[in-house]
Amino acid sequence: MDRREFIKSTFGFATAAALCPSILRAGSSPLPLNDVEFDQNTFIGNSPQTIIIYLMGGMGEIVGNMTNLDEIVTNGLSQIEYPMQYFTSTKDGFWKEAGGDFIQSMVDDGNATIFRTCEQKDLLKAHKLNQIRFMHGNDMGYESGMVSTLMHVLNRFNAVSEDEVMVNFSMVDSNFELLTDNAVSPALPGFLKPVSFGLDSYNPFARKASATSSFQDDDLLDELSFEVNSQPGREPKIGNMFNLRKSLKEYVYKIKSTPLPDGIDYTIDGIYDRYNFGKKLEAAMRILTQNPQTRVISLTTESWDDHSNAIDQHMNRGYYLFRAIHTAMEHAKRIGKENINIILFGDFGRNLNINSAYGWDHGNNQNVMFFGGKKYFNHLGTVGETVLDERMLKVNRIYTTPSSSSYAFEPYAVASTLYKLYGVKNPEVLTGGRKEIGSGLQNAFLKIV
Amino acid sequence: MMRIFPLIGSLLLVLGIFTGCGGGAVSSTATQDSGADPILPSVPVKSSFEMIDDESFNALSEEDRIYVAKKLYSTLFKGRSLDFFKSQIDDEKFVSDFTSRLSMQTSQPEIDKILVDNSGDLDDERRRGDEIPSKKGKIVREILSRLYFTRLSSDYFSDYIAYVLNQTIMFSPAWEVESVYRFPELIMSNFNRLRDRIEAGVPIRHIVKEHMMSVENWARFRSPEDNGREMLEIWLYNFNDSDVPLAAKVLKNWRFLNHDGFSHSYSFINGIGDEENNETVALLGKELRTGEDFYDAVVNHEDFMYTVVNRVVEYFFPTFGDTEKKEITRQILKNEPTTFKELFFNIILSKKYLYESDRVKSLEETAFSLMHTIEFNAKVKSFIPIDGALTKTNQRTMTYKLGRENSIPVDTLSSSEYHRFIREYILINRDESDVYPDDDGIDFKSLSERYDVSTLDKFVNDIFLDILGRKATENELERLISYFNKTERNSGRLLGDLSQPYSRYEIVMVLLDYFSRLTELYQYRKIEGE
Repeated sequence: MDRREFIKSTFGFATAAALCPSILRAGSSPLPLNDVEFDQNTFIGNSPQTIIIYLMGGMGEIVGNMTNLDEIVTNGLSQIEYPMQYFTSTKDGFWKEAGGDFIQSMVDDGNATIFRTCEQKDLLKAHKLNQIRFMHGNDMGYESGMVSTLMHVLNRFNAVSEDEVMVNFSMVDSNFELLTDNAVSPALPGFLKPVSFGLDSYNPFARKASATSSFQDDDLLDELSFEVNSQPGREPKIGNMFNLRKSLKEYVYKIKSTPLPDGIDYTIDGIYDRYNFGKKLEAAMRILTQNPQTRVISLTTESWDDHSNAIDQHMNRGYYLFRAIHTAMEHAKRIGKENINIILFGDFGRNLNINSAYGWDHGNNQNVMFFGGKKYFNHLGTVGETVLDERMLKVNRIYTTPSSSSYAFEPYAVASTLYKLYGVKNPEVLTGGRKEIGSGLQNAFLKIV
Repeated sequence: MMRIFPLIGSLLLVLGIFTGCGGGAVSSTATQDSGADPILPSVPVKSSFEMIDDESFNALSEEDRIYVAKKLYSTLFKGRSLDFFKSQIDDEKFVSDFTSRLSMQTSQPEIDKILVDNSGDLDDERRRGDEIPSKKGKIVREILSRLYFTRLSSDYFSDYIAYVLNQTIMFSPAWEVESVYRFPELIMSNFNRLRDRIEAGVPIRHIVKEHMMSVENWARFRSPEDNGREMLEIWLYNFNDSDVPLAAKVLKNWRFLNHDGFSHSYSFINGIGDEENNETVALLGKELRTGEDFYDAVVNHEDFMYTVVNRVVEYFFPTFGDTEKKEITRQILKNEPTTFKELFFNIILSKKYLYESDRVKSLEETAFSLMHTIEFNAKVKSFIPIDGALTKTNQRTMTYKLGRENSIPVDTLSSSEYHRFIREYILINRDESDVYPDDDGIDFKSLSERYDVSTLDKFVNDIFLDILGRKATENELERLISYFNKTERNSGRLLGDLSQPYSRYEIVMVLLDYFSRLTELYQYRKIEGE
């Protein structure tokens, strides 16, 4: 097989190979679980519960980092001039109109760390490609989302038992790379497979009565169908849903009926924001606070891919997202849950040139944000300094890049951080050598309990 | 073990498809599909990709023939009764009859009266309110109802292909994108243009070039850099970031503007004006200066057809490994398809697809094929919950920027919503239009009269074959029949007493409810083949 054929057979990404051959290894390489060292005490001591919010499409880095804006404006570098009336910086350089006040509040509260120098070393900026590799947390060909990888680790080291319920939750809009599970055989056992859930006004797992009143034996049909659905060739995820349906139905009723603490309200005057960030975060927090066995909740937001009209869109979306996160952190604080954390990252940052359609095109550097989890995070406020990347200015791109003295890391390190948090002593074996975020910093970010 | 079908047989078959003489006249039993007229010969294609024909189809077991026939219809969002399929199978011309249907034009003027979005253009004021989703819903329902009510024909095949392509990364109108959202009419114009071009037999390269230069494509990919990048990725699998600024340079006087966010109009600047690029750039092996040069270079690039074919293969074979999908792509390319009809014929009539694909069905495939099979009394209002279910199952139609995932989402929430919709809106939904004229649903009494009542075994097996395309297993027969024979209806009669019409149709109700709980209702299965 020639090289071109090989590339197309693996990913179909012809020219990607020339730029980043390492991502084009044959897919489905087995995860090196045998090399993982696991510390049960860390896992038990931290008892982490994580909400991973993946920012589909790539949020503009300016939301969490306005420190280079003055240089851009002063030197007239942007194709379209920045309308500065919409760009107010908080004291630490967050974009006030896009939810910056909420971020600032959490930073001031010692409950957030904003890493500003998460830079991918290559120049690949395809959404799908980055979603795959960054949500998998590796470029080694392990086709396993970082959440699935974590579940495999917990399973292998018996950190969770089959009696635990709803360990791995998801609230996503489609198939989701965080939950891909193709690199370990056998795949995850049923109790660790992702379970998805919503907070609609009806119960999605309840059923209407049969069409005929003569029929009273619903269990017969269920039992018979379970047997048939378990036969080879049947899609196991659908079968899993049928198996779990009754317990999920009861779980949904329970989760929804428990009142929130006084003063915690994810709505705005009784209505969820138009992006449903409040609704999703409320559901996630209800689950985590009522079920300590739920370890990870994967969550997506609507796309941030604002190639046009970006300022207006980012302001609205950012405001409601960080408002919802702020509410969730207040919720956790109110009930003393310092083991709940939220991780935020995405495809890439958006570069700072306002293009001719009043949008921001794909960028390179992005912010990675951590909220909550004081039990094991030593929050550092803002970390990392950026400068403009001179090489890109000639092609209508305004990229930032870490300054020569700044701490920086690649997006794969998000996965390492997650693994470390849950007790993996050497997460780099799962991420192609990338250590956890904060590794090497003078002030430790992770407190290993 | 599959038998190698001689090349000449495939060739004749495909030639037959395009000359409308593949299998003679439409079967007299095909009342739903009658009224078609042959069209003139279209572009003939060569074929080495192993396709099904009457001979190979007739060599299958009876149960496999029924399943393959149902799979073919379901793939095209259609369905027919067991009697229809048995009759077709008995004639031994199922495949040629089917293919000839797809090459004939049909006249159905009533289609335009079923459900047409006649709400007019949205003005500035109406776009500010809640009318955008409402308008989008009407457009989607018009397209869905057209698909549902149009008989199998050349016209329908064009509708179908356009609809499928509108779900992919290639042609999705991407309603979720902010710049498209305010202009849902772009969904309809995108669909109509593609459908019309397919039906006119316009080559793929021409269709794609026109599409790339359209306002619909620019509303989706709005800046020169965005559009240039995505065209390279989508149509050539070219992920080379250093090519993007070059593409953006030749596209510098193209853009889609709706920058106040509330305007009822947009500006589409398509290569006109004094900003035109004056310097040539070396890109895709050519010297390019204008946007149109770029689009020409994309569709004439050596990777273009591979990419198009591979993306369609990804849609139909999502459960196959990359190596196998690549091989399928290569096989199809050997046939040199130049139109989308040729490409889709190559796939859906291939043994590889019909015998081996085990993908999860889209909601349209499951719902529409079931509704046709059970002669669901569909009304205009029926398409409202279908549109809603597409959203709840994360299969929103013509919405996603990068198209639907090729693998249908089957997480617990999506698959539970899928099950709930199929069960509640279709399989246990009684038609009470005798009381409520606008009601939709199943006439269970009429449906139950289709089946063999000579024994309870035969009755149950007929229902299984009709809906699932297989007979009941011994375990299913034993337990279900035991239940029917011990359970009294409200009247005191046993459910298993087939002499009673009510017993018959209540058994149908129970079994349809049962089928809604089976994974296989939502998924295609493999068969052994000849």
